Amino acid sequence: MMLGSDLSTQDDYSAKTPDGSPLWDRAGALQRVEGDEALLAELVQMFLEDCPRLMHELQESLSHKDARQLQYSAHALKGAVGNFGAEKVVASIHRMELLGKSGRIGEAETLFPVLKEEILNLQAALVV
Amino acid sequence: MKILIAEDDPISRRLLQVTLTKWGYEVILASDGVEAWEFLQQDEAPQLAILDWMMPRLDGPTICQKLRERRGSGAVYLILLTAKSTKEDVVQGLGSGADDYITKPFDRDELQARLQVGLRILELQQKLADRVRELEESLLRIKTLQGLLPICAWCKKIRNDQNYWQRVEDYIADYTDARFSHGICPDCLKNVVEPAGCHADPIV
Repeated sequence: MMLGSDLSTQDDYSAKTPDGSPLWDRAGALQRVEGDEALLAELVQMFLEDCPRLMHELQESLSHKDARQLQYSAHALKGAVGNFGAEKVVASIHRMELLGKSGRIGEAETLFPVLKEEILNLQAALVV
Repeated sequence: MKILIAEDDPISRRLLQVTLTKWGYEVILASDGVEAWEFLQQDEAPQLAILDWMMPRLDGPTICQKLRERRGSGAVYLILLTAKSTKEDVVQGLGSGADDYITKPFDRDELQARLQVGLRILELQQKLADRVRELEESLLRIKTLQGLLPICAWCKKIRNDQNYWQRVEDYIADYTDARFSHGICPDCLKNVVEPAGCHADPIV
């Protein structure tokens, strides 16, 4: 499995945001696939496989200080995460996208570690 | 009904593909804007398309704009799929030539309802186009005579555009699809034919 060892040590609160609400909306996501558990599992698997690439692109755009690419990469990541109703994570990515749009790379760099942890938590929550 | 899904996010694309296939659509997939544009150029191109707003190479609104600019493009119903939902974005999206838009992540019932609207519009456009074609074909078959015709007050010949006097039946036969069958009316039978000692059956 692609998840790092740092994730395997996390217990079930990884599925929650700091205020205790679930990190993703399983019921909503299931409703969107008409209750098709197998399809939901397939979509989760696709996300887990695609996520490292999307995060890598985001990180690359930051290291190249490419605001336009940052906006685009964040938008792509947002679309993927949005499928799972992970609203808190989507909000963080949306902030990142806006920082890209307005060319505020410095602030985006500060936000990146926070977003990275949220994404790791989301990945862990999705496989539970 | 064929439907094009143009979406660069593989998860959204897969979800749309499964959903629309279940609903009975014949799904065509494009993973970026240029691919989508190529599908829309083909013969028998899909008449319904769901286009992601932000895609590599060519974005959704640009595709809408290019399609609407193209002369003689067949009826195609375009739905933009977007994470954006501010008023300006909606205005820009519809202004580019999209017929409708759906925000991501999409709501199934809403998507289904909006696709139904699309199908209804396409059906109406098709009926209208068929009717116009029928009317155009009918017009081609009909020849009309109009305007002022110079006619001889005595022999009833008509002067045509070449300044030549034609018998009225020749003139009408030349300028319309009407044809004549010849006979004798009861008045002429009584006043002309019988006094001359001939016999004929009158047209009753």
